[in-house]
Amino acid sequence: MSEELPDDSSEIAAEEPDTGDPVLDVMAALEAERDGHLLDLQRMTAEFANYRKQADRRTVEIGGRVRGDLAEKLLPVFDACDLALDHGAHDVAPIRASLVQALEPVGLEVLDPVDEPFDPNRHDAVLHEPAADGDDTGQVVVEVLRRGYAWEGRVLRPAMVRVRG
Amino acid sequence: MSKAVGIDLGTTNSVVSVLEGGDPVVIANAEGSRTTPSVVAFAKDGEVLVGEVAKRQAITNPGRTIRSVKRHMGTSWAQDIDGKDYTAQEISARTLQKLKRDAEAYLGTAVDQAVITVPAYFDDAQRTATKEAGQIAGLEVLRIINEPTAAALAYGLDKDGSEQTILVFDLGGGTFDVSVLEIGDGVFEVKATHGDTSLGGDDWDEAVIEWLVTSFRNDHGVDLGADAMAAQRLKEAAEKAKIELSQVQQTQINLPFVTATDSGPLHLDYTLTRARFQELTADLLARCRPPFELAVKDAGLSKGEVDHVILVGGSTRMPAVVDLVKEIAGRDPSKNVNPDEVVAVGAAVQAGVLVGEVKDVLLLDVTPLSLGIETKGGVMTRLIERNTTIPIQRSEVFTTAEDGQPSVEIHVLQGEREMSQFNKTLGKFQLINLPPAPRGTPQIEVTFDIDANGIVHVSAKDRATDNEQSMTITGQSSLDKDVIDQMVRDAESHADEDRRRKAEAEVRNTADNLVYQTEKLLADQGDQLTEDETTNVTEKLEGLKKALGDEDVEAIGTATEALMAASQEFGQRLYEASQTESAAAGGTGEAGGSDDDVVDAEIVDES
Repeated sequence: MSEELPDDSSEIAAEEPDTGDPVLDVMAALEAERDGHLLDLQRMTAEFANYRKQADRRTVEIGGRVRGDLAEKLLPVFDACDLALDHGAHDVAPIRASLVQALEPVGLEVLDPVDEPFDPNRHDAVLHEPAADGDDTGQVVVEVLRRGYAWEGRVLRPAMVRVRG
Repeated sequence: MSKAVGIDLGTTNSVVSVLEGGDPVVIANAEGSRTTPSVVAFAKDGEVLVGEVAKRQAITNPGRTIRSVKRHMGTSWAQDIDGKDYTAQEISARTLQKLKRDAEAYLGTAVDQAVITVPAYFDDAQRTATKEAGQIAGLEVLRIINEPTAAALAYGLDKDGSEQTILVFDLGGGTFDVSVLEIGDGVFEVKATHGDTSLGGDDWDEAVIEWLVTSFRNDHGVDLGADAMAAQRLKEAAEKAKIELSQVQQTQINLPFVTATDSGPLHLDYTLTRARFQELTADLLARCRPPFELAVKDAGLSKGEVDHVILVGGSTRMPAVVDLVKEIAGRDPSKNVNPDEVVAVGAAVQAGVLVGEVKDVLLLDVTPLSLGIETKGGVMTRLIERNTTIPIQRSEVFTTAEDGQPSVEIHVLQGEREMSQFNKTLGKFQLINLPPAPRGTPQIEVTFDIDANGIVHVSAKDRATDNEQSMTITGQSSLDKDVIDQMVRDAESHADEDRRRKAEAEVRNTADNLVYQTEKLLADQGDQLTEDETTNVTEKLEGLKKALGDEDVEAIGTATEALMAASQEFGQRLYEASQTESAAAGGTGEAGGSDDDVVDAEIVDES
């Protein structure tokens, strides 16, 4: 399939000019070669300029992602708090609240979507039940088994949910 | 300009990679993950979901969620969605479309061409279907290549001209393949391929889950498998434990509040050792053996005849798997490239070759070793790091170490060790006739310039007088590869010792600097100090000077800190006073010495 490849710019130099004058031929060939090199240089320079812009953009992205990764490592702590609360250890509530208070202003979002429409971008369905007869409200989250978390809009972990419909 | 990518279109997961400046890069998808589940779903509202998102809604929409469609490629399989029959290639095309979109978002340019990989055992119909899937997704499929071939390409095994035998061991999430390749003159031939289409890393997770459920039932009489949330948590914990056990000998599996009984909440907390894990999964490992041995036998190989062994798939990180491979192949596997990504990387390399990404005229060399000069304390200060693409020019400004120093010696070094005595001397020259000046004042600009042929030009210029000296070193890149490797290895094996020496040199330099600054301060502004301050500082100063005369580096550090503390109080006061007096009082009163300056390498700034 390699024969279908687009022309390579350096091949310009390989074309045989024929003016009848050997000096002019050489000149034409050299000019073509020069143009080929210039083209290569322009391409490289452009590619580098573009690469730099991309790199800048990625640096910003990575910065956010690294902070998100750190937050992700804390999720088991959130879970432990939630589960403890579910089991009646109410003393844990202030600890959990202060953890959320510390992280929410810098990018953390808690996903607790009870009664919201099911959205697989943010929710992970692990249980499903059919809708009641005549109910056409679509797929709805009826229970959150484990809260989800997002960081600056990126879902770190979807909420684990039971869906009806 | 559009780009060509390499795609590993897997049964459970897919990966896309691209060459950037000649190096393969694996592209993360919109969700930030480097692998994308090969799962496609048609939501009730008509939206098509691909990847992780499709997986998450699968249970609510089982009839319209399609997994492992690769198993149906090239067959008459079809899925009816809203009255339309979808073929396997149409479903695969949805996955390819997402990879294409994610690659375009990452690259900021259109992606129109791709190399896509398939298992070595795929027949013509399956390959044609894969190619069609690419076309439906809007990709020109430059070539369909075998997964094991792609893995070999990722390791550059086609570059070595000699004939070689390569064994590729691919244990994915849900499938297992072993292939034997022969390569000669850049042409790959698959000699044998065997496998088990229902064996994969997921089975190892299952074994751990089963062990956890059984243990918990025995200890507490509760069946965790019946609880959806507990089951999900177990699955995550089992996978995490499996991954950890590839690195460490034992791991803690801890799931607080995993369930509750009438008598209160229960926590799951077990320790799993690698030995126990291997015992639990011994039957799975045993299932790898027959296809492996058959492939070796069919290829007509005996032990020791394999030149390279390549591991593909995340599950090949398990030490027991590596041991099995070593045992049957009689050779250590190559493992520089991430086994989850090696196939996609090889496909990207192939795509790069097909579109001529790297042109000969622009094939640039790199410096094999770092280059720099010797600075105070025998430290090598690098100007150009190894593996820097050439041509390149780098400058740094250095200064003198002594008052009235009339000349500086530029000792040009090559190598990776921290101390200059262990590196290779490329040359030395003097820059003379420096005008008399206090140390730290002259600005000597040292420039390294390496052209595309690897010729190094080093110059040193005194900025005050424009006085300049230079030398040219040829052939520095023609060092034997073995010598270069040896030097790099030496640097690695001596890294700790070198770091300590360098740190010692820095402690000495800092101390020496502080002595100088303090003496200068006492001479210039001593009259502004109280008698107590003068006595205290002088005493600490003498202590430090004495310590500098000895070998005990720790004592030098302690004495430095003592002197710093003694001069800090009034240092700040004098500094502020001098700042208001003259804005040009740079350096004076900088008794803190907290910069990690190596004098004579006091890098003023890059011009």
